[in-house]
Amino acid sequence: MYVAGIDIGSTSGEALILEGERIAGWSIVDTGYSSRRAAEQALELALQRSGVARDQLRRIVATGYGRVSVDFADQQVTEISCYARGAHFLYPQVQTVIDIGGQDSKVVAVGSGGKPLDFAMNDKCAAGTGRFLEVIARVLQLELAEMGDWALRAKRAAEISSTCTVFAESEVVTLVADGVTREEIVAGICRSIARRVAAMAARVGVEPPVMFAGGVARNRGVVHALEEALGHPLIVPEEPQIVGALGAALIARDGMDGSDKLFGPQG
Amino acid sequence: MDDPRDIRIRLLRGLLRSPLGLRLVRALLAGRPQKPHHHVSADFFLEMARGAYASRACPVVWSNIFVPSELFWGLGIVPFFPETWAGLAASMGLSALGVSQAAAVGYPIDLCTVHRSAAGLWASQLFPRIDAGVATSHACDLAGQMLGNFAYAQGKPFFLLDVPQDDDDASVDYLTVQLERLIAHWREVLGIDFDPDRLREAIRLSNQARALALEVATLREAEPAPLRGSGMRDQLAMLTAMFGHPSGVRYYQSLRDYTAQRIANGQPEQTHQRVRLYWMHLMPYFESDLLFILEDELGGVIAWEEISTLWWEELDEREPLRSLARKIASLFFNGPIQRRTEMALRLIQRYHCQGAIHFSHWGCRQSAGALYVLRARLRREGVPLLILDGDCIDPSNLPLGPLRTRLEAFMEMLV
Repeated sequence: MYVAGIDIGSTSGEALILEGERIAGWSIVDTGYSSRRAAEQALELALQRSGVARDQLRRIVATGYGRVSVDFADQQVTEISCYARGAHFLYPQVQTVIDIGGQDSKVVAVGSGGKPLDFAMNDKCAAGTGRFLEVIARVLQLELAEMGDWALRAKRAAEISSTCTVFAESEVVTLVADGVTREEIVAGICRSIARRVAAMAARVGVEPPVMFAGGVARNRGVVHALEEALGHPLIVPEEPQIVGALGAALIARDGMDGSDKLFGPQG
Repeated sequence: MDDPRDIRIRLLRGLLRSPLGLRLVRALLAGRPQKPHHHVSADFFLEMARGAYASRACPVVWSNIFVPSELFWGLGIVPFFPETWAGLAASMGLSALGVSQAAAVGYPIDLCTVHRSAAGLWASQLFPRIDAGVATSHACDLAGQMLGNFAYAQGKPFFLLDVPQDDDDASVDYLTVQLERLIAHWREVLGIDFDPDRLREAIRLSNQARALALEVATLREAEPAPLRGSGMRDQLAMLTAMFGHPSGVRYYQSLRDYTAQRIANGQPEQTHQRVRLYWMHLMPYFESDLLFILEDELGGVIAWEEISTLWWEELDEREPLRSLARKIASLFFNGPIQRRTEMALRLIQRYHCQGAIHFSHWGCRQSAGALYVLRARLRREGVPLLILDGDCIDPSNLPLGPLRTRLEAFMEMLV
């Protein structure tokens, strides 16, 4: 008996096929201009990789900012609930989840059964998100994927004072002109993101163990800076981008009996 | 400042300044199907508008909303509240005009949009004449600055009531002396006669309205909630303008009867009710899907709103000024934050709320500045708090997508 979770973010969309407790397969695609199209593509790819036919799916739950566009889903649930649920499934002891995605970041306090107890999200600003890294990568003519390694090579981090992505871009241009190395600038950018997210996390209250999920969790520079800023080691799942889709799939599985309960037995 | 292309502004300007135009608006509103208490409030505000815009019978004093209205009605003064009129303009879809005109006269964008919009509406010549200005120093210091600006720019006198943070006897004494000085000041600059009997009558009317408003508050304890919280977004305007005027009594009588009837007939305004909530600070004054999403899609019930809370004790007509001084000082936004948080906890318990939502209106420091303490205090009592950043005046500053996610996630947490 298969179910699917689909997480449509601003930058990427993920789908995950679940059979009981087993992850049968998953996929990641670019969201592009259409959330619905990305959801279809992600689902087809995940089904293909799982060796499961579409008509074998019993239930689909959509999450992420594009969830409302996934009209073929049986239910839409927010990414707050799905990240909490997915993180709890992977690491039942997790008490805090931090997700930094393409255009937003969030912190969720996780209770028993994977139920969110509190949450905070970034407001109307791309600072502290993956978009911030993308902009700076372009200015520094670096590949996004290699930014983490550049940051870790730095002997010190440049001070980036701007919290606004646009102003930070100007600041980076000035730093480049002043001869500051790319390593130091990237390390400074990672630290800037980490400080902003850590401040947001403080609103919720950071209780370890802390999981770091979302696409930016692949960036080792941000992981390092965030661990420093929080004062806690971070658990980074093997596939940090699929935590939301996993949570959605778990909710889909539990909803097959017709209940609308989103969380586990204690949740 | 004038935009000749905007016919709406010209029309509105003409309507407001013409007794005939205001009568026409009144007739149009009277013919519209609306709740009985809304007829009373519409009549009241039109009457105020007539006194401020189209009549020279009484002096017009521009004021922030926390100067007690009993004082104006008891002295034969027509009050004009720029903050209230900014909210009214937003409900009529005119906030973009106010906000853009404020930018044109140099107000920075990080200021509260209520006051920016008011400044813009004034710059667009949509406000009435002014004979004097007055403001209290508490709750919102920007209001005092703006009212001072308005008076100064138009060459009119301005009086600031300095409000101490406590409502103990010494503070009330201090404030009472200032109210006496204010009346002396108005007698001098406005040429009004001070009739103590008239002020006492305003106090009596205020107490009558207060008793009725308290009955409404008791009726709203009912489950299911008889009224939609979103329909109560105008309550701050009522609480701060109507008391001391006969319309205040009529309004709360009508609202009480309407609420009682809804309960008796088993017809709550909101049919889909899942989770009871306490709403803190303001709500969008303009038509927005935000409250539709909360109430109709998600079944969130705003069981009580902070701004609907009648905060003062019964006034004593034997000591009207002292009573009004105590009313000013006892405002829950005044003094230490504990006054507000403890009131929140009492109301959350009284209305059986499972969570609270704080709407952080753009640029409003006086409310959002307390969020850390508020959240910590509510958390200690096991009450989840959702903070929504938005704007109650400017629709372009209310991003529905992110706000929907926050509302949905909050409801998922509570259900």
